Amino acid sequence: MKRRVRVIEAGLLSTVQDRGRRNVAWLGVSGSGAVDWYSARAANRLVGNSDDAPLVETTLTGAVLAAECEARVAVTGASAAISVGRAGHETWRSYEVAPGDEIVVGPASRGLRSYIAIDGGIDVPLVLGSASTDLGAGMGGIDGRRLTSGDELPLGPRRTIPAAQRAFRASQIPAWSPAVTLATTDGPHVAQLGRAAVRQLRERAFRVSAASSRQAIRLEGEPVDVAGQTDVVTGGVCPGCVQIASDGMPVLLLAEHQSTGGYATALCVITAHLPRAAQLRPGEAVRFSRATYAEAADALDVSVRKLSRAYDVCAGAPLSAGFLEGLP
Amino acid sequence: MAGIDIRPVGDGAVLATLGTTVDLALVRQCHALAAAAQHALGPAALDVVPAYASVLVRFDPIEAKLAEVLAAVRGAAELVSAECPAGMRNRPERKRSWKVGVCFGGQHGPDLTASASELGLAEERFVSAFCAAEYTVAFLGYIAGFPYLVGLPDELARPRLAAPRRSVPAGSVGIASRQCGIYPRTSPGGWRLLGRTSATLFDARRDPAALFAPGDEIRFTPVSEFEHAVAKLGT
Repeated sequence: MKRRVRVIEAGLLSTVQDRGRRNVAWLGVSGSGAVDWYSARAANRLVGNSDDAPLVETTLTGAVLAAECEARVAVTGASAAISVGRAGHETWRSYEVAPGDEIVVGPASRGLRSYIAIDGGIDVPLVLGSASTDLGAGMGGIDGRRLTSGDELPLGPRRTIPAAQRAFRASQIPAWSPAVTLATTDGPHVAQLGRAAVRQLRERAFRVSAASSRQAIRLEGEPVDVAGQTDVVTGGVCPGCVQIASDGMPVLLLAEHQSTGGYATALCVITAHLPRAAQLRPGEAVRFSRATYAEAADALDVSVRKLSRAYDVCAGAPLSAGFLEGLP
Repeated sequence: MAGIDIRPVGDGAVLATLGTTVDLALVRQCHALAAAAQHALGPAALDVVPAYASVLVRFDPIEAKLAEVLAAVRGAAELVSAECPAGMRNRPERKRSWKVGVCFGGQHGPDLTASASELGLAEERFVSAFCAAEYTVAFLGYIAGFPYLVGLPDELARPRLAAPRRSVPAGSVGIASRQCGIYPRTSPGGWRLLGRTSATLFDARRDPAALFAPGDEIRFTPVSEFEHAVAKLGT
């Protein structure tokens, strides 16, 4: 019989995601995929999946799933009270579940998005090469839509993972903050927008608007003074682009952004800091700092090494004081 | 391709900007550069996105280095420049041509009347001038399968609506300044709507998923409301 889990409560917005689509932007299709790439990869690695395995991304309120088979489950991302089966209460650690066991991800206390990875990955048909749900286009995942209670999520074949690789150490776990600084390089349209606009963007604090989504984080605050126009000839954009809308307010593009845009890009958030952006909640504070390309590469290298260090962790080892301090 | 500006967009993409205008010659240069960049980068490119006057190359900075991608895009730009002397830039490649039936005006094209009258034209004159022109798909963007077309006659150009509509029906043919496009699915939109087509512009289950591809040529032809309704039943 097919392995699967059932959705008991889908929460505010839960979707099936993987690393997203490639070679589709030229069709006008969004790349989509998990917004927080670090947490999504971590969850998959903790259950022995490949980095590209489809998993569940929840938003703010979490979700409740029920296992209908034996499986290994990890929850990463936002800080949240969780329970996986009878014994599992820690995020960034995987647990074995039996048929009938519930996987409960509570509301996020810090951060926004939780990732629930199940060994074998969620086995849905690939659409344009990916299992990712694209809510705008209504494709991928489960019928191109958000999850709803009663949905059955089929799973791929069982995976195994050595006991030593089933938990992250405190040093590997991001600490989400309600006031973040995102490192940025200069965007391609700095000359058009003017140095003053770019300086203001990096001096002021902005607030995350409730109108944010998987497409973009809309920011509120004092509009920046743009020297020229905010419009550019429509062209390709990518996650991390901070565009200035016609009202002078910055918009930070996330995974499900439109493939092209007509606003000037002032700054670009470095890849290593996209998970921080992905975990921002409405009302939280954002500042932008300046980074060189060398610093961006170093920061990414650190993130990638943190992901890999799961492979030297001993299961069952006593938790360090640092790990406990990292919890909310 | 002298004067082409190539720079990073963060640590995961490179943007080549070829100009700041919307015209067919520039669009063709973008297509050539996109093809060359795709060839040079192979699977290292996550996305190559041609547009009116730019090409964006997205890559995974965990897998590829920014300096290497920059070098590859610069190399592609040089190659395309060398192989494309000025006189040959407009040389047509493999072309696909489409005839797109459009039911103009009325409920299907709520902005036709105003657009024509602002120009002092009868609706029929506006439609015949619109349909006499040949359009080229510059690129697909905004939403899945949305073709940005060049070729709208300058004398028909009208600015976008002051306030965008919350919901533009699927198949709507719209214009904004010198741009022309077709909405593949019902979505918000700020372009002036002239009419509607029954064609299915995007279907993820179809291969290729998008009806049009960059470089395709399109001619619009008027159909009656009855023909439009019959065609809709067939899709």
